[in-house]
Amino acid sequence: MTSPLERRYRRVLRLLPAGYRQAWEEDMVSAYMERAGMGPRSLGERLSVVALAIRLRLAGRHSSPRGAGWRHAMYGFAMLALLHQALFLTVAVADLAGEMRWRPMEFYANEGPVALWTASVFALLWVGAYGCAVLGLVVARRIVVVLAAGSMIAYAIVAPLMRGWAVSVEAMIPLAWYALVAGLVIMIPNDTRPSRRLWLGVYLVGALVLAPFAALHNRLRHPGWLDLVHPELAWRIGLVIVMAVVVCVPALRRSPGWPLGLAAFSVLTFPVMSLAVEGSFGPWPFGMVLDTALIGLGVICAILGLVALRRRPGEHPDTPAPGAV
Amino acid sequence: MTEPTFFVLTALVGEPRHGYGIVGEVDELSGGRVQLKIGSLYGILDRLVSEGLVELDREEAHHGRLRRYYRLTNAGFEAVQTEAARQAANARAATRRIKALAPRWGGTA
Repeated sequence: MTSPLERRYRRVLRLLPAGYRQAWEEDMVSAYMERAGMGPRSLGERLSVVALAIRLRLAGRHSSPRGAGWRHAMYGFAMLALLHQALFLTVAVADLAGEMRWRPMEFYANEGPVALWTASVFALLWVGAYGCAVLGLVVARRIVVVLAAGSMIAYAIVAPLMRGWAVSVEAMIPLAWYALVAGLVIMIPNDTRPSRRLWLGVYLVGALVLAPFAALHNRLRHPGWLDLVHPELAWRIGLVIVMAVVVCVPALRRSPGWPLGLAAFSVLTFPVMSLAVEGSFGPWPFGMVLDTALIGLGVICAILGLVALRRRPGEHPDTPAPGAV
Repeated sequence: MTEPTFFVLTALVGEPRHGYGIVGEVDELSGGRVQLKIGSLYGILDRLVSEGLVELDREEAHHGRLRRYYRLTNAGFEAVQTEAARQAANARAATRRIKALAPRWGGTA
């Protein structure tokens, strides 16, 4: 009959991957019970198991093929979200620079210099985090993404308060998105090696196409016309193209996790960014149609990804105990 | 090589040990500085076994539970020997520099 202490410890051990538990659980319980008999039990023992579970799952050790697929989904979402942030802020800086050039009265009346300065800082941080992720700089990637997300969150909270405005609940949703993205980017496995040519190329092409358009839009827009060339619409179209390129690359398509990552990205990003940019879910018809289409694409990808993942074995490979034949 | 990993390998140099025995030996070797939790220890053991530095020596029944004893492999012995030599060389270089420049910091050579 097992003691309550042993039962509690085994409950914590369930956090570990099944393959790892098969190899080490009895040994760990034996050592834990011996140690517990020598002195007071410590919360640190259980926390060390939690930390071990996180390390093992992030590293993919002892995980099943299906578990590896979920890791790919997380990785896909994190990279797409980083790409989105890097491109979005590059376009934002170009838009503000264009406004300063061609509509200076409006620019300076709406605190344009402050907006341009902050957007430039944020752009540098997110583009830097993206570059570190693509180049495989693990420590730098984690530090810069925390700085990027943290600075945007802090600014979004402090700036309205300094102006005496209330911080609305809707304004908090994009902040949760930044925190989610930063958390997932931090957890990208250390041994991940993205295709540098693809990811750097996608950013450069996206920036070279969208940024000039965003800047020139300030020169082209005429009041009273249907605003078909609004940068937000062009931005979304650009992202659809980016995602299509990413999904169609054969090497990426081989992993069933990528469709899920793409699905999560599209379902989460566009409503969130609509709130962040416009304060509502797409006020004009074309934006709403495109948002709906992109969410629909996300749902289709999610179904494809789930079907592919279900075909993968969910059981861990048989991990024998050390020394067993 | 991290400090806990180094001490786990060092603890196994003398004789095969079981998990709790390794924890105690590491505590003694490090003068109480490194106090391994069970989760940390078995994360280290899992990695060392997969790298071929440690292997299972034997299993014994102890108070109704199975106790596994682990031993260093030849590769594990070479790894800890190499790391010890590296750390000793680093310490010698630092000690020489400190002795030479101690007066600058108000110490004695």
